[in-house]
Amino acid sequence: MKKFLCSTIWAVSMVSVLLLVGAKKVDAYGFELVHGVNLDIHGYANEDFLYSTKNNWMDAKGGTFEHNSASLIFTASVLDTTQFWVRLHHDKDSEATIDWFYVDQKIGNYFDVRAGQFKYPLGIYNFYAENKFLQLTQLEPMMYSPDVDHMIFENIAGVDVEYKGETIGAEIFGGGHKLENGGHAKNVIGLRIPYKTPLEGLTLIASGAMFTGKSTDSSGLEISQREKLIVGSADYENHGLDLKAEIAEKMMGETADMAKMNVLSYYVQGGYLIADRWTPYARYDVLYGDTHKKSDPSFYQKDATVGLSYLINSFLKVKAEEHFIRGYNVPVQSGEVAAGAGAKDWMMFVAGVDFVF
Amino acid sequence: MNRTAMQIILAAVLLMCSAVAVHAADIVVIVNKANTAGITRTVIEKIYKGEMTNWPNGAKIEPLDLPEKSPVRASFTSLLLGKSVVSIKAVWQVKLYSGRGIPPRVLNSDDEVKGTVAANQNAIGYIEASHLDGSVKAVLTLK
Repeated sequence: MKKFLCSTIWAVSMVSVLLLVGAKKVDAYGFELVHGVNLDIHGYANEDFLYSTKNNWMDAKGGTFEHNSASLIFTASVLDTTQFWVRLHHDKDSEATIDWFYVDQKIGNYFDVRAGQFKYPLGIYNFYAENKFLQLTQLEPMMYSPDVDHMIFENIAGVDVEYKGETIGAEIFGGGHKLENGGHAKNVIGLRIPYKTPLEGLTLIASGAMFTGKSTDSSGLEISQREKLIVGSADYENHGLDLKAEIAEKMMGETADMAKMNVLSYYVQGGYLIADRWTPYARYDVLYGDTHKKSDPSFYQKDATVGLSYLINSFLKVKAEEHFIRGYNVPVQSGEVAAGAGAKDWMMFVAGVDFVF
Repeated sequence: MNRTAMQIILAAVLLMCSAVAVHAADIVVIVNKANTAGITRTVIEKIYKGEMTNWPNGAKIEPLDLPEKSPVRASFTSLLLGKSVVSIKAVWQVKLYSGRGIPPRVLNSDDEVKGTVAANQNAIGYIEASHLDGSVKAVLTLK
């Protein structure tokens, strides 16, 4: 109850502040901090209502408003080519923390070098997975869900070199991250290649990473771990049509002392913007928590979603969507439902208010 | 009666056409008079899509926009990029919230844009052609 109150008060406060700021000027919040240093402040927040018919994922059984997040992004531009980015983020599972802090050095128009802690440049959504306003659906595809362990991680501490070509780009990143649950650090090296096809609005992206590190098993024994993640993405946005499809596979436990496990997820989704306001949308999303156990509903989840969003103005949007779900792997991974104890067929209703400035 | 009805319809059509003509006023893209960079339509497109951030001399480009509800911005976005203001704003929002780019600064009027461009060697903006004067340099006219 206390956690609920704290997070709600924090979210309401954030939204109030953001609305107050947003009411003045929606497009720009830049000002000169000191001579030659410009500071821009932007942010976003969301408040959701979730209702699950059977399985208790995200405390949604019986309905909950305890699902919100808010972020503030500060950008300091120094000289003509250097920017410092910092993000303060809060969500239902964590206190307000600074989870981005990096310097971005631009070299001409084609190269960027980033160093610090930033989002893993994987897939389409990972950069802005928490920003519900920019997403078609209120619940992100399962491959990006923070409840799905070991799929696409959030932040990397390291270095990223990006080449921004006219039609094809390349991004190489390396570094590491530490799991939030106290797990051991992982070392990472990865690559992302976006390709703008001749068809206007269609971008294809291949990305992947290799993670190495050590982990501790249930008996306290330290074991080596190696994981490979590959993500294929297709993103088409043109003429009001927004189509996205992605497939991600993670191969885990490739060392001799750990059992092999593959996690596979894919989705296809589409929406169409009508009169610059309404967007009806649909998605089919599949997750196999372990591809060796594809027939066990504890280890898979298939989610067909239909929904509608309404853009109130350029910084406020509302959405409502219904999820028709088979299998319950994500609630198992989040620890809210025990394997073998969940309902195979269930539904979830999600409504949310999203804000950006 | 029929003739009167025809006259009313004709008058209404003419009024609508004139309204369209107001929205379709020529727009000029302007830069500082001291800016010597070769600025083509393609370059301007890249700047307003966030794909080009620095002038050839290395200085940071400072693109300027008008408010979202400005008909001049709607025409500029449509004529230059072939997209709606909402679509282009979404492109910039993804860049911003991904930590990969900051949208153009929004000024309130053509006069503010013109004044800022006249005072800042690295700025680029757009205004209605009828507001153009000798304080800035026009590099592209959109019709």
